[in-house]
Amino acid sequence: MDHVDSSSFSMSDYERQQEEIESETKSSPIVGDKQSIESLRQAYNPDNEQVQKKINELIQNYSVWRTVRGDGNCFIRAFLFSVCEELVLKKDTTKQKHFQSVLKNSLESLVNLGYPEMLLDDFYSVLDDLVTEIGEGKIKSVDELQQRFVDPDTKDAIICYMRFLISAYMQLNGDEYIPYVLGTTDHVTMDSYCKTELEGMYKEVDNIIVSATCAACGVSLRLECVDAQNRDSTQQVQTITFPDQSEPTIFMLYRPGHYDILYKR
Amino acid sequence: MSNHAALRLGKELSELQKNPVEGFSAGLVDDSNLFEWEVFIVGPPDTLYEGGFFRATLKFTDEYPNKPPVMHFLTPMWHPNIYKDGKVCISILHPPGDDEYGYEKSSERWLPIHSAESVLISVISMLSAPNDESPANIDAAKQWREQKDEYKKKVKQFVRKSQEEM
Repeated sequence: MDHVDSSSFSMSDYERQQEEIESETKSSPIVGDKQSIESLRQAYNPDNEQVQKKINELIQNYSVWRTVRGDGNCFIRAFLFSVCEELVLKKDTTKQKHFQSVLKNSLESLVNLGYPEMLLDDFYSVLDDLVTEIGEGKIKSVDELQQRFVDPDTKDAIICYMRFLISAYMQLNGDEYIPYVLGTTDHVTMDSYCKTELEGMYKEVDNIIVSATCAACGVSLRLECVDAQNRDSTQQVQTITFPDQSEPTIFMLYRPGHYDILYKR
Repeated sequence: MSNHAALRLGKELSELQKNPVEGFSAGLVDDSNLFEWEVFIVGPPDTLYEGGFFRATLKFTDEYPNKPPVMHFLTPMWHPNIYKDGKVCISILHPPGDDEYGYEKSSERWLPIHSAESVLISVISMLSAPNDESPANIDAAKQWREQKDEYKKKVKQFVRKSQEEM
């Protein structure tokens, strides 16, 4: 943010600015349509050679991308959409049942951790219904899935539940995550970290949460990081896989502060 | 528009009416609108606000519970965390990351698993334990810090007025 003179920058200025940012964000689709990877060039500065070189590299491996709204929920939305999309396309009942049991177990964990079941159930049931409908073949195509992801009664509840699911996983596996939390944030407990950095809607997530999301759902993800930095390597696009060394099934483009979905050639 | 917010508010309200929580009561301003509540708060015993009876509104948007409600006291209040127009400013009414108000990082923030009930419980505890870090009424905050006796006297006046209004 630019430096602002705090004496002339009142609370209502702040609120107005927030509203402007919000209405700008809301003009982009929650989950966009598939687009040719070539159109990615326009999403970046066309004059930035460094970035264009990286996009050339991406084009070798990916043919299509799909945007997700940059409202702070983008990682979780992109992740959940990709997981559901795979269930719709592959009709793999084992995977569908596995994901559904992950959901069910997380609800039990949350209740044991003292979260209010009555309120959580509102979010849980929307996501559980969605996965059930995929399993029963009621959501037959990716277009239908996309419709559900933008439906007003579904779009936020499913993201909200994912946030609590990841939170439960991180709290129950605190030993694994607390060193990173202590090392990279100013939180000293998992509880305060999860409540502040994860459980609130529209809160952008960090790498610790990205890693925990994959572990909680048993999904392997590859991130392709495209920024303006010059890397001292023959491969310009930095690639990170969660969990490390695994064979990824879903792919995302990471630009600082934002995630979109990528599709392999 | 989402039904989710309305369903959730209906559920919360009927739960509160079935199992009332000590210290406040809640209902709708207009029976056809679930998004605007009227609440009555009883001044908590053994505090400066004891004996008072305070009327307030809670306004929700269709983005509830992703986003918190807004609370206004209709009864005039004298408190560091209540604006002179009645608007309540405490951390639970702000989402995490909304740091412009100067709350401590550890303070309780709005999450979708909070509810009208958890907001009202926080507001009741705020009455007897103001948060000095983020005053909404600067005069009241200054008085609370520097002239406790004057502050107590002033609050008692407001409590008496609230009784007369009833």
